[in-house]
Amino acid sequence: MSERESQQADAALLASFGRADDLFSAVTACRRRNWKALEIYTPFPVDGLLEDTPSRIPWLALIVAIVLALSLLLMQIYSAVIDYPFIAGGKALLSLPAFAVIAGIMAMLGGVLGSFAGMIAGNRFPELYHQVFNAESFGCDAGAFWLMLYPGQKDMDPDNSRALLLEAGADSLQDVQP
Amino acid sequence: MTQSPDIYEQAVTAPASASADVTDRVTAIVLTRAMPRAWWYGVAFTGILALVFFATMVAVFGIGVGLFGINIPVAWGFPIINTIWWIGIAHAGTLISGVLLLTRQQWRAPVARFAEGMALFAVVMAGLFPLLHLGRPLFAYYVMPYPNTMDLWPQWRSPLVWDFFAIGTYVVFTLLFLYMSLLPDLGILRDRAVRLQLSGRKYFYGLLAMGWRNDARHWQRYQQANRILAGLSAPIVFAVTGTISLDLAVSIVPGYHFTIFPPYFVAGALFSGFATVVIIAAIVRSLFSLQDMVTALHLDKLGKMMLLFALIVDYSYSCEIFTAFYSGEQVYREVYFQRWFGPYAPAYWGMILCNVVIPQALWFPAVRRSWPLMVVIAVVADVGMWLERFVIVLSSTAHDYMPSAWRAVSPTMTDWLVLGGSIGSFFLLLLLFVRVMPSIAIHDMRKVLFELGTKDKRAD
Repeated sequence: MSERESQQADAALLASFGRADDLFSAVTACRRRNWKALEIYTPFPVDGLLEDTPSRIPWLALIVAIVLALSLLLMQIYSAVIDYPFIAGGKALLSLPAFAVIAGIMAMLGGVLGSFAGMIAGNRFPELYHQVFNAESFGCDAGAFWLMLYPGQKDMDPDNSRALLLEAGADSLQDVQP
Repeated sequence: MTQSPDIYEQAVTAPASASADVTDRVTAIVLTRAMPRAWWYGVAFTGILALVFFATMVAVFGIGVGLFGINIPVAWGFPIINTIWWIGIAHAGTLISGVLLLTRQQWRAPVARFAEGMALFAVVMAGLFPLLHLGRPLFAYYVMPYPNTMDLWPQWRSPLVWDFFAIGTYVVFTLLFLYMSLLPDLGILRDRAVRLQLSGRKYFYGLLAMGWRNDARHWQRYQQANRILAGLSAPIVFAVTGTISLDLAVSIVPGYHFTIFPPYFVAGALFSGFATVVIIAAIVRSLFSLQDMVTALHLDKLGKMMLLFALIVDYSYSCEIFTAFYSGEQVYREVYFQRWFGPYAPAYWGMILCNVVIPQALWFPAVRRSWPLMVVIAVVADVGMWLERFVIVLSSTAHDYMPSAWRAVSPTMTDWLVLGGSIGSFFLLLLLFVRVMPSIAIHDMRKVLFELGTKDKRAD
């Protein structure tokens, strides 16, 4: 294989679409061929493009919320009942209604931190380099829908992958080097 | 560049070009266009106010809180009024970002970004005043439970300690929510800067964007996190303003000690907050010629929200009066007579005019859709809400249980300078924000415009 051919073999195929419907057809066609190594780029969230995968973000938010709330609650109980007990204004040492305020607020903070961290970690941010940025016309500002198909999948060759995407309604196709 | 009367009408037939139009214009404001002269004048004026704010803060920290117009029995004055007022303004920004997202209100799209920015800067202003009002600000960190050798713990039963956790949580929430909703737009700015070959800025936005590339899987996680944060926004709003109102309500001072305070303060907060969104929307749309994106329809919706919360506030006033008289407590009734006829009566009746009488104009659609009238009503609403906190805080302690301690106090120049300085700093931060970040959420607008486009096609 010449160097040019081997470069082409490594390159991914990036297709741009003007309409979400065309992108849908392309994604469905790829799935029918069992070509799963692909990435989809949309200018805004589009429902139904991806297979539903159970998400871990809500669980992480819940766990961090519970941990933070319990820690602050236990800290307050320890300080007010065990470490430095004193009676102020006739209030009970174990003033749970008062302690619950901070515990509740910490639960909310935990939810916030957990979901944000879950999103950042799940998306593997920061990821300043990615193959798709090598494409000349690609950009978040373009407002187009994109599909990037990685090479070397079952029964895939440069011709049939191009044909599939063009048939689905791709406006343009380009090879993207890694 | 198209200047159709309404970008939403354009989107019904050509969503892609409407969306491109929005992207081009909003990114141009940040990347290529020179700032209009009005922006420079605004920065100069608010910059001076910010310097005044800074100088006054130095004076208060250096000389002491005696500079403020407070004295026994009125031990709390402008700082707490300003904290509650600023937090209230912040809440509408949070609600627009959060609750209106969950209820799928499309009209939030063009106003959400500067509402979130407004929320962040208002919270920053709110957080400064508790520090300013401390007799010994150098010990402010005592409210935080840190490991120490003095056996020192915060007073967990005090709303002032709850405030620290509440406002701290709110600052973190606002910052993270704003940053998360900025991520897709930062990607847009990065790629536009690359296309326009703006070398410094592509790195700046590139670093902030953290590699965002509109990947559908990223959007999925983004939406999940966004929904959780939006869902948390309503409880956080209630917790924060509720906690701050408890600063007053848990005391025994007549006039402070009402159980209605948490919901009452939340309603008041949202009223003044939506009013401030109206003011900022008017400024931004005229500064950057975005009249076709932030339209009379959005103004109408904001006006309805203002009316809703004004009515809740008005009902709360009547609840307070009813509780004071029905309670049978002589002193509670006395406080009310003092509010109506005593030294702070002008403030009370000003509050009634601004929060009860003038907002009734919002019943009329013609008023709600008029930008000049709405800005006037919004300014009046903000003033009225400030007066409400002034009346509550000052008139109650000026006339409580001990006749020998009845005394009214007057604000000093320092009080006014600190208030005016904080308003100036807030607007300065906002003007700088719209210079550096897109003032309209481009990705939200894209979604709305495409939805408008596909809806019409499906109807065929």
